[in-house]
Amino acid sequence: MTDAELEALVAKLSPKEARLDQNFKQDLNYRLHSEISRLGGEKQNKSTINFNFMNKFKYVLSAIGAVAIVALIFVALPKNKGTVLLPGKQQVTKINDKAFGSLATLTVASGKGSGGGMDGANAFTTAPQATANSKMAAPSTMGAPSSTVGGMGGGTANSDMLIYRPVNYNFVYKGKDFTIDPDKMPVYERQKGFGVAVNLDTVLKNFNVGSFNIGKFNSARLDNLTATQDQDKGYTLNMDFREGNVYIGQNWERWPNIYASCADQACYEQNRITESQLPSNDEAINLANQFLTDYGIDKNGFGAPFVQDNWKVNYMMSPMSMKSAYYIPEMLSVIYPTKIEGHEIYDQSGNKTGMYVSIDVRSKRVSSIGELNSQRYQASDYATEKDVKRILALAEKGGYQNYYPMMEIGIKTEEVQLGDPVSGYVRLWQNVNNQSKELFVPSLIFPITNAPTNIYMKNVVVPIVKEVLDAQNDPGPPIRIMKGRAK
Amino acid sequence: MESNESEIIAQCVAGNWQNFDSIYDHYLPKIYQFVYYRTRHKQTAEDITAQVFLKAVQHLSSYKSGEAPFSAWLYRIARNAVIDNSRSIKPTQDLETAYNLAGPDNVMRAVDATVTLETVKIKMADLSDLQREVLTMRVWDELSHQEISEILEISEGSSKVAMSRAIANLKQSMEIYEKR
Repeated sequence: MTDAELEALVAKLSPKEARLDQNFKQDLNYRLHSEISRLGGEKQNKSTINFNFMNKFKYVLSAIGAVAIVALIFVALPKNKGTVLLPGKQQVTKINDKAFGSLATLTVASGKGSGGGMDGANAFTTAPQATANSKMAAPSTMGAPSSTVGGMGGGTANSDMLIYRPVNYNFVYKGKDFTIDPDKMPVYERQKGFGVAVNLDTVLKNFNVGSFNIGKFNSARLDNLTATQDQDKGYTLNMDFREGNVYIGQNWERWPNIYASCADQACYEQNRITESQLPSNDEAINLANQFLTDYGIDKNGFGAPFVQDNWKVNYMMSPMSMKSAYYIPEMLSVIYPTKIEGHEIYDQSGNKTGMYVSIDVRSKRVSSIGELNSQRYQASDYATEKDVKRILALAEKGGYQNYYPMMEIGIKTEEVQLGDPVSGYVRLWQNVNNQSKELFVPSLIFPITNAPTNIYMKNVVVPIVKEVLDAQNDPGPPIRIMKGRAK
Repeated sequence: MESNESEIIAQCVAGNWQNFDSIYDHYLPKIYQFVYYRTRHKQTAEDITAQVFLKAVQHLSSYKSGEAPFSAWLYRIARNAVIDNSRSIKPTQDLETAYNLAGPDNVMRAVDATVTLETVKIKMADLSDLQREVLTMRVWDELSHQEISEILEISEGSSKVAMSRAIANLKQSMEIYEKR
């Protein structure tokens, strides 16, 4: 036997079935990119925006843009790791300057209900209905600092109306001087869809119920897919292929409803949630994290989760005698802030926004997940506003299209102090040709450094893209409101 | 791959992971195969391979290109992971027993069911650890002596000698066997 023959025999002993599983390859690739994203985020956090507070700070973009974040969000059914339904690896494509056209028509709310808050009326409905209605809406914290303006609230109930203590707010910048150095910065637009071909045409073509044949609808495409777990405390999974997002909610028919047999107000009152039933924030975050882990929803591409508990602002301030009458929400939401290339995303009210996981307080179970969106973006540079005075003037009005201070005569005025800004992105919408575009605009985030009465804003947001600011009408000086009813 | 590999690695170390997928695509099958050959268990091989690449991503900044090629660095992580795994399965197990984890039935499913092959397999288990490791790296993983020497942290000459002795010992064992 020659050496070569012997080597050939040894070679034959290698296990020939060592075939690499392509699902494993894909899964691991996702895990690695998540890890890379996490490492990139850590690295970036350490060097977050080089503010140089000598006399002025320098707002250096290069430190931010250098790290290419490749995050991912994917949904896989439990015990079926290979089934990737939402392979939304974060992808940012750089395109020409000003490629999104004019930014003069940006709005703070989507015209299509994708994100943003609910209207004031829905916010005060009972929790189950409110959550069901807010399918695609992040539990919003939109609204003015005081309860004088409607349109607050969202997936979680809010009872600010119980205690109305009007206060005037005077925003004052107390931070250090700064400059804005970059001449232009990227604006991001989220791309709709999942970025993968989902061909469900055959489902439509073969759907034939008696005389009604959907296959006759030429060129029809399947935009939505809803699947429901037919079991107690089961979930409904809704995938919007057109928008590129996923919503997981309760299958209402199979979840207990303690109010179902209530015939009078006393029954409702008797069964209301009490403060002692609320999970702690850590408990809520643990529940949310565990659910995401169990369902294979990657959270690495998001910022640190937090519990949205703005409702507590008024609750904590209300006297003990009023606390029992206070409506405590049946759902708590844990927010996982979206990050784009390492930047955390805020709503125009200064709250970090992103994927949310709602916890049913009564059962301590996850009841819904929303804003689970594909993460494909285009980036286009726009000129920045270099006039710091203009930025500060807007900050001292409460931020972009947010709070217009109403100087009500004869009531208390409180000072809201704003500290040194950090960079972030604000999520805005643009409606073009009946389509709602989701845009993310570079902004300065001014933290509120004191704790004024009744205010649940944590930050004031001012976009620093010149075109966006130019389009905002100058509200002028505060309007003075006379006490008493109008005649 | 080798031509621009060091450049891509340097980019990754600097925080630009844009081209990482090409490294991943190139090495994943090799590392998986390397691990699978030594564990002969799909799930275990996948778990270990995942550990290897996660470690590589996490510790890439500690990789020094001047000391060893990236491939050697990666294989070394894989080899250590296989050893750690075999220890965790059974505290007294070493790489030799990890190599022998699969019974003859598993092996024979994939190879010709001949007595000769079975004999080679038995005799391979009698080789020294180094000889067996060099032999399998050379024949199964098709690694060069230079790569083997860097992975095992021995000289290239030692690798060649180990290979030569492995073959010689096997031949001798086979001849003794055939004369029976």
